[in-house]
Amino acid sequence: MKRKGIIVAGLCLLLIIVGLAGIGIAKEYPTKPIKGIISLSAGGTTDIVARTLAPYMEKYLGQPVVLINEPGANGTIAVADVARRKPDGYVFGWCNLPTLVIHSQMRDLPYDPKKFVYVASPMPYEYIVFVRSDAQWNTWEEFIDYAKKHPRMITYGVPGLGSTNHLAMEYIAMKEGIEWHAVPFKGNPESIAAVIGGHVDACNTSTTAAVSAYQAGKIKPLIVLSKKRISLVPNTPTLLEKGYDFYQFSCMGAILPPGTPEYARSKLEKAIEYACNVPEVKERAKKTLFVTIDFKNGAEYRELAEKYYKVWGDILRQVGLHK
Amino acid sequence: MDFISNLMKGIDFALSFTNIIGILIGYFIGVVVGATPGLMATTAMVLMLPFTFTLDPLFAIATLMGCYKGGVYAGSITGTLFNIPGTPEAAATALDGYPMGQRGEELRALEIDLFASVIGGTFSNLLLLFTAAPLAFIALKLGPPEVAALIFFSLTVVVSLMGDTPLEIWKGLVSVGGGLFIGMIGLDAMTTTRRYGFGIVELDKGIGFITCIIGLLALSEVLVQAEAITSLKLSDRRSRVPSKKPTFRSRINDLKVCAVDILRSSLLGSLLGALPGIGATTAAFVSYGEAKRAAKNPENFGKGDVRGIAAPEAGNNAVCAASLIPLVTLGIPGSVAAAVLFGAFMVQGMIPGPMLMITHAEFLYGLFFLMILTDILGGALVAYPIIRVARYIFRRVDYSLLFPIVTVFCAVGVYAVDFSIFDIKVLLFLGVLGYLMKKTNFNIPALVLAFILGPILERNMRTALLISQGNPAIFIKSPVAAALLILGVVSVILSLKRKKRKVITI
Repeated sequence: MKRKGIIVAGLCLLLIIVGLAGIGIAKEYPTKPIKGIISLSAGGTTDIVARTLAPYMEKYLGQPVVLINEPGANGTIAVADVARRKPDGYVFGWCNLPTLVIHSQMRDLPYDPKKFVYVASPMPYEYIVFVRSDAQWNTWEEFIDYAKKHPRMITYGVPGLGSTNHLAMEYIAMKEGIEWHAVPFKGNPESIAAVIGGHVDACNTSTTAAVSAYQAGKIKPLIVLSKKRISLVPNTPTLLEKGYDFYQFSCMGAILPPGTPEYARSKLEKAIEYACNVPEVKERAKKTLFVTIDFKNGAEYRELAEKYYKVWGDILRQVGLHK
Repeated sequence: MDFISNLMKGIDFALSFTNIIGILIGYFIGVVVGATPGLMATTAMVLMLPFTFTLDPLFAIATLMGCYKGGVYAGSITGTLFNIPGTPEAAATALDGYPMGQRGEELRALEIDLFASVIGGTFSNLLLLFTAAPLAFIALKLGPPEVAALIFFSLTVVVSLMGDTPLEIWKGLVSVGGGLFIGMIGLDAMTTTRRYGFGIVELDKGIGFITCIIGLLALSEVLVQAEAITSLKLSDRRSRVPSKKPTFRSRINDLKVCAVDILRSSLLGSLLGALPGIGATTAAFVSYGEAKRAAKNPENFGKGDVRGIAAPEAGNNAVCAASLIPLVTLGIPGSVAAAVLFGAFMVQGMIPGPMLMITHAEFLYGLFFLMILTDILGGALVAYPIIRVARYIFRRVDYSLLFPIVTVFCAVGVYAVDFSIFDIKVLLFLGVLGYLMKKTNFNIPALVLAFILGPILERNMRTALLISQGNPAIFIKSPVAAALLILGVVSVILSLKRKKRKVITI
């Protein structure tokens, strides 16, 4: 009986040693795996791009990048989590712009977005409004016309209230004098599924999340909300072409908890830059994910955030959602 | 014909020695991690994921899938032997597995666990292979109001079927309320409002899923048994019930008895698995409930009935393959494990979704084929020897050695999620809470299930109400939702009434 006890204890010890081995001897940052919190749901554009970049970031950093999704309230749940983490460079967040510039203007948040350490932004998002492929509307005009005649009848899915997807649709509604309403889902994949399942009429989604459903012929595009046309749906016009004075902008970016030292920030920044410049990543981004990689370093990312803090702040006031 | 040629190509593509070794390694890791209370197979998958980046895609994904399947099965081993389910989905199995093990029939219980798991898993693999598309269509048609009603119904099933007296049913209802409450702690997932945080910032993230289930299911049982050990004399502890070994005949007989239950549970598990977010724990409990409802002598359930072991095991293992249905047909990962698989597909350059069936048919059919092999080969070559080892530990090792180890694993498992000491404090609190609940006969599995389903229920209910602009009629307008809601309410009322009468006649 005693011997067995020793065996069990020995096994435990072995396990602990194996576990400790991962930590290793202190060297240059990073010396252990880095955790990346993805603020949006699995299968969404942010998630897919983050996972496309991860293997190359690993190659640069020499440590695994463990990605975990913590979706909820359009990313603010995860960003609030990042804010609370130890600023040692081993936890960073992949987030969208609204968590940094919009939500804080709508309501009180458990974090101050200005205090984060801005790492870099690999790309802007691009947006399309989709309806089910057998829907009665084929053009944007038909859709707007129907919405005008049927106030409060149209529902559209967005990945969260206060997302740029939501505000852009409300801005359009204000301009057109329409009443329609937003239904927030966990993320774009869920919002697209709700369109296909017939639970909402339309959805405003970023591109990558919609690629598979669109190519399989389950949804059809009505309009592009970002500045330029999108290669996934080359024949769909943009809002600007339709004479609106507006386009929807948000970008994906990496942030670190407030107070993270510069050496960690710049190392991560370089890792993201390295991953963005790998030819295979560029190729895949263009041909299968339909996103435009456009690397912005930390300083440029912060500038973007400051610029769009004002832009979206104005829109929030106009649509009556500013706190 | 297209289907058959794709399948043949897939088999040809997948069948290699390395791939089979891969699924066996994955399954082995899953079984060991899943059987260890405190460690989760999904955690192992998350940690394995970065190492799969450079591997062959099929090998990588099949290995992860093997780990998932092994983990879902293995929770039942510790659940049956020690009443400490290694995973939440095994909590239902322990209801009957543990009493049977205490009768000295632990090998019989473990074998039924395994047989039911393999059959349930295989059934759902085949279903995935043949009917992924229609099942995905049904899952799509269930919108927020239907899903909310389905969860409501699942919770009432647990309450109405797991108590035998009105008092137990009332306690079950209180437990469900407690679970829903714990699930609400933290930041609201729609508006980031703080709820029930009492000014503790660490609670913003809510009570961790892993912390909650380890505390309530594993640590609380360690406390209960530690008390039992200290209150027993040393001599009493040594005299365990003699072991009864199942014979070939008794095995066949057991399988005959629960054949219908296994089939029903496999189907239920596959359907529930196809719905994003419902998961294996719910499938296990609903399967258990349905088996009990169908039984002629339901009073045997909870006392070591074979059907009470087979039904939940077949149900929860059927979820594994079915949870891939929304992933490969809609691009929505329905569980944590599926989200990890999504990541694995992604880094290999495949985006899960309806196009996957068209662009990577050969790969997918190869994967499905490997999954069928995982259940059968993993069960025979990995799980079967392991249950022998587990039984040896059960028979020979002194429990006073075992429980400190389990406690350490619980703490390590919880700490490993976020490296947060606060989580360990929550774990201790929940362990004591679970201990008190066990002492007062409150229903812990009901609480855990409500905790898991609460956030999904809330999100779907609020989304449904947003769609209808605040009009609750949306739950009645949909025939599916209305039927589920009525069934749920009626089953609770009926079980209260029926059991009251029974008590009087006794």
